Amino acid sequence: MTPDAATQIRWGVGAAILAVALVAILALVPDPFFRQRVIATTLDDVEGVSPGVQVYFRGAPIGQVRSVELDGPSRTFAVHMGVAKDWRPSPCAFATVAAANPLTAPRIELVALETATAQCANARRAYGCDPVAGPQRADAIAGCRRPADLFETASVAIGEAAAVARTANAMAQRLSTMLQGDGSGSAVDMAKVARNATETLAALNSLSTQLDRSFRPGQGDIALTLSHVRKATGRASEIDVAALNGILRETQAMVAQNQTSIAGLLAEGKGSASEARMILEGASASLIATSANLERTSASLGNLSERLAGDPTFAIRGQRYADPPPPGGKK
Amino acid sequence: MIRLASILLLLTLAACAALKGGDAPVTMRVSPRFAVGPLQPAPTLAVAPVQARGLSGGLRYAYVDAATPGEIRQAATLFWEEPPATMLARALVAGLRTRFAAVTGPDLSLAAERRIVATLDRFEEVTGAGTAQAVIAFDVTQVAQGKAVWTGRYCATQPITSAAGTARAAAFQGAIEQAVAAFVEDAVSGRVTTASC
Repeated sequence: MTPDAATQIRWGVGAAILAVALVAILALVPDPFFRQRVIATTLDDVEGVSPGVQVYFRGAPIGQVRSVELDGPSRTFAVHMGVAKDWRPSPCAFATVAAANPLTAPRIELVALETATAQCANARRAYGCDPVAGPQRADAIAGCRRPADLFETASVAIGEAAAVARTANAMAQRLSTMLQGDGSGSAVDMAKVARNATETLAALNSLSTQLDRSFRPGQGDIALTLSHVRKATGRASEIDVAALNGILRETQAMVAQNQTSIAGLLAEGKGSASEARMILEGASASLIATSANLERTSASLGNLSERLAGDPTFAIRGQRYADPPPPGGKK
Repeated sequence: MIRLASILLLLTLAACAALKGGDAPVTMRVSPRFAVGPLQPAPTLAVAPVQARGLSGGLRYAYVDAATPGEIRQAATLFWEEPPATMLARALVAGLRTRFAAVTGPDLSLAAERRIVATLDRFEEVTGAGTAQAVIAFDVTQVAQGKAVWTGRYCATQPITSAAGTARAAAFQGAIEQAVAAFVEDAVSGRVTTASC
């Protein structure tokens, strides 16, 4: 017996609705087979973090971000993540947004240190995690403050380098006054100031090395994706490269001035204690390296910006190189 | 059958291309040596850090086709161990120490009667018509009491005999030795010979 037409239509429509509902559940419900559980964390900066962003644990993907909600009063964000059901946080677990480089995709990294709760704060600090202060739920794990990205780091480092160079300048002037023998300083004072100057210059040198490394062409190109390069191009054009280069040039001028002062002091050699002299010689060499680093940074920063602005795919494709032909066809 | 064979051939080619390893980089080192002569106690000399013009300062090997001298190319797999400017500074110190008693380098900037300030202008291979040459050129200024007292330009070329990294490094080493030796002789005599380039 064949059902009548109305029954057939009813069953057909019912089956279609059921199929659509099934597909909708599978497509829209984040974890239709209940293989994940939700954990929350608090982050201070969620640029690039949106539902769907992968959550990793020790290199393995274990889930993804479900939602990101602003917590108005604390000016932080509650981020809910669906992670594999059998993943268990250790007593000292925290979440961090990985990839300080704006050219690589952000992802959330769950870190579980095998440390007792009492030592957790120290262990976390040693790891480089500064926890975000905000509402903490019982089922939440701590979130770390997001590290500055490449461009922000560079801008801050350039500013810091300028400040350090100014301090070094003041120290060199004080040393100069002392060594000119106006009676205001003893050899012990001189050595102390010279030692302080050396520490300051070491900081400047380290910053300049970091800057040079950050902007050296060709680093991390492989990790780039077109969309992120486009984003980076936008970021690069936002930064006032001319102003940064101006600060760099001023810093370099100050470094050169310090170098001249120190060379002058060494040449005079008047009343300078041998320890101070030795320290000054070291400082002089340090300034030369700093000056070269700053110059290279300035050039690399300009090159990177120009290249990316002119060709957003440059960072992916890189530059095509070819070896010179063998002379006379000999291999 | 032919279609299947073509597809298999294409897949094999793609697999070969994907599985082929990258080109191995060759990093080249130069160690210039200079003949020792009678030492002069004065003046004391300090070699300043050498500045390099454009790509001459890079670690990637640069070369120029003689047919297109305005275009600098960069090698895919050939690199210098240290920037050519550093190599030149090191060579200047080594060369000057063979004739002057007190010479310090950029890493130990002591007060000296004269500062040697050099700028590397060319450090490249010039290829053309089956030949290749290592070419280096640099400008030097001697500074005394804040004034430029002496300026010269030095250059040298050496044939590159084969494509091997060792042969290329040897040619550049020879060119550096030749140019720096000419400069040292001028520094001793106080004259400036006319540059051949």
